[in-house]
Amino acid sequence: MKLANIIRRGPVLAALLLASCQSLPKSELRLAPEASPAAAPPAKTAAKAKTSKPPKQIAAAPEAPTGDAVTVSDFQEPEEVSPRGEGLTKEQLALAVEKLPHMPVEPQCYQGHPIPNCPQTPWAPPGIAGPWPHDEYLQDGGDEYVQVNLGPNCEIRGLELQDTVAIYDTKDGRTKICASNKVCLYAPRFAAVRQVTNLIENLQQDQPIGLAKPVMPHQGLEDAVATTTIQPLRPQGSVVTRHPSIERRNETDAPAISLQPVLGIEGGFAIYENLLVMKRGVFEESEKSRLLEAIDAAIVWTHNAAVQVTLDGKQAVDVTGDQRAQATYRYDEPDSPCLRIVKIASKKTAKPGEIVEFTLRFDNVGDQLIKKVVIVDNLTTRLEYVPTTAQSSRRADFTTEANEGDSLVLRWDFADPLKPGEGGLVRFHCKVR
Amino acid sequence: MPPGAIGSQQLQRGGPLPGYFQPVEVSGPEGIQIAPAVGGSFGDPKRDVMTAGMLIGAVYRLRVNNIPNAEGVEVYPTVEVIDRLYPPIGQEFRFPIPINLSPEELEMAAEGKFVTRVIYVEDPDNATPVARKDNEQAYFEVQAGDNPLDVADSLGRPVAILRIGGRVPDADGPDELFMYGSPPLVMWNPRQSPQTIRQQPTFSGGPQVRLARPLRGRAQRVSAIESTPALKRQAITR
Repeated sequence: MKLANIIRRGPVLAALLLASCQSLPKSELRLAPEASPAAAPPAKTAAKAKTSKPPKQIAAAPEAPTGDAVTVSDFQEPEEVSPRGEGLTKEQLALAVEKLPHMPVEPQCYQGHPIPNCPQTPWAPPGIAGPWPHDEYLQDGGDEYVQVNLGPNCEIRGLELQDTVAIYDTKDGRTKICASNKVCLYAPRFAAVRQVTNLIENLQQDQPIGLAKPVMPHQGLEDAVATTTIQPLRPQGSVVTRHPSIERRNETDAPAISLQPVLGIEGGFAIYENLLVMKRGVFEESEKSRLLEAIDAAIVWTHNAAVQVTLDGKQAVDVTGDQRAQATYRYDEPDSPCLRIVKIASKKTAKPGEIVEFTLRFDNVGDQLIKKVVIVDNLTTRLEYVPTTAQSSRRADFTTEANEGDSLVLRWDFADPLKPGEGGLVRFHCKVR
Repeated sequence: MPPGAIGSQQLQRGGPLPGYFQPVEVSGPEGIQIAPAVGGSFGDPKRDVMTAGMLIGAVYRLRVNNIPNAEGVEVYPTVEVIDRLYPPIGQEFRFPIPINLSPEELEMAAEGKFVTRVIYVEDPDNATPVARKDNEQAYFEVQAGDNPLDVADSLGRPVAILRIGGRVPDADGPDELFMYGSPPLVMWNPRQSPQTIRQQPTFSGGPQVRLARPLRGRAQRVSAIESTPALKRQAITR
């Protein structure tokens, strides 16, 4: 058995991807009644009307290649092109970029699963010693509290405000759910409680109660040593750069590389999306600090030059931690479907009224075809979706529904299956309320 | 509770509160002039908006005049910061505590009424789903017998208390008790050139106040003013 086929999907990825997988019957996925517009007050039903419209797709861009149509022979290298593309027109460059996904790509440094940096450490603002209040930050993404699951009729249950999940079917008929990472946005909002008092209302007259009690002076003198000293503490101003990973995995599984065409998104990639994981789905160590800033959460990095271990003829993964003296080796069985979904925001801070862009990158990092991919983002109360701003790099049916927080549930239904190594981007704008 | 009582209790609980200058933005109707208490008197007035870093637990007296439709009227509100914010480093003055002096409240104060406004940070999980502009601030009205601090504490995290009305300075000028000892203040003026630090003369000759943490980012003009510890104690215990 080939080693490359043995190294498979890894541990639960708390920050970046999804881990919980459930075997459920597949069919059409719909919101459960408790999250559907029918459960909302009548006055809001108009807003819940399902607006089914295709995402701003990429009108000028050639359509992203679909799974079965992609073969190596499809790629034709432009004639007499320099390695840097000099001498090409924009159209030629666009054509070359479009062709890139068809190229057989050699594994670079890492194409396996992203690894959470510190699985047990919750996110905290940089430079602030805990405990810190959570009320100044808006959090969006992940799957907190009740886990998202599917009902008997494949309706989505447990989708709460802030949740962002992807749902897909595997080739053997299972339906799996994976959550994105959590994005934290500093956007405090203030309100006030007012009390107006007329001074006349506080007028009162005090009278002696008529009881006279002579009190003798007390001669006792007591010198007590102070028992309490209040020492003001200076705030901790040190900024701690946390290493984004305490776990290292070595995987040589190739299919995680996915070169998505830039033309799939209107206007190309934004500045905050200038990351390899956003462009190609490949994690680079040099990008980890920028990625940390973008998602304000734990991130992954990998290394491909460590000792390789085999167990029973199968390549194993070295799982290490900074609190342990021992190393644990494990391996996973092949045929493990896995979808990775990463969420980033264009800003780290925002005031009410400002627009924030969110980008979701999803990749099939498993070793089998997955179908019926659905991405659902339940916006929190203070995030208002800006109409007509949803974009997708792959053909998708985009719909919105009102949620219980007077915001929207955004949903992308991808018709085309995802082959191993393929992925895509969705992007939308939100206004901070 | 009297001004300063709640903030001083906050200081006694410990944590990152003592010595921290929490940025506060006091604003009002267009044309209004706001002057903080500096060194026993009122400093240079700011037009429309005054942004300053204020110590938690101290009470800052302000003079507000040039009120639209009420020329010649002066109001002397106080601001007490009782908790701090935790913005990203360098964003402190971009996200100050907003304190809005509405024309209605200024008018009520001029008529002799006493207005207390407790500003709190909304809990995002229970926030009202209403879009607001940056300078808008919703408020709830409580009756005279209720405690606005308790109500604010049930709705979010109280961070500042504004009191308008009540006292006016004596005819021969404000005394130190009226000014609450003129506690240290870090003024913020984004129009000035960056990295200009000016320390205004002190009235007591005591040690200079040092910032507990460096102000980074867009802090462009900073001036520190000090007062005597005795006056601060006197003011807080009143």
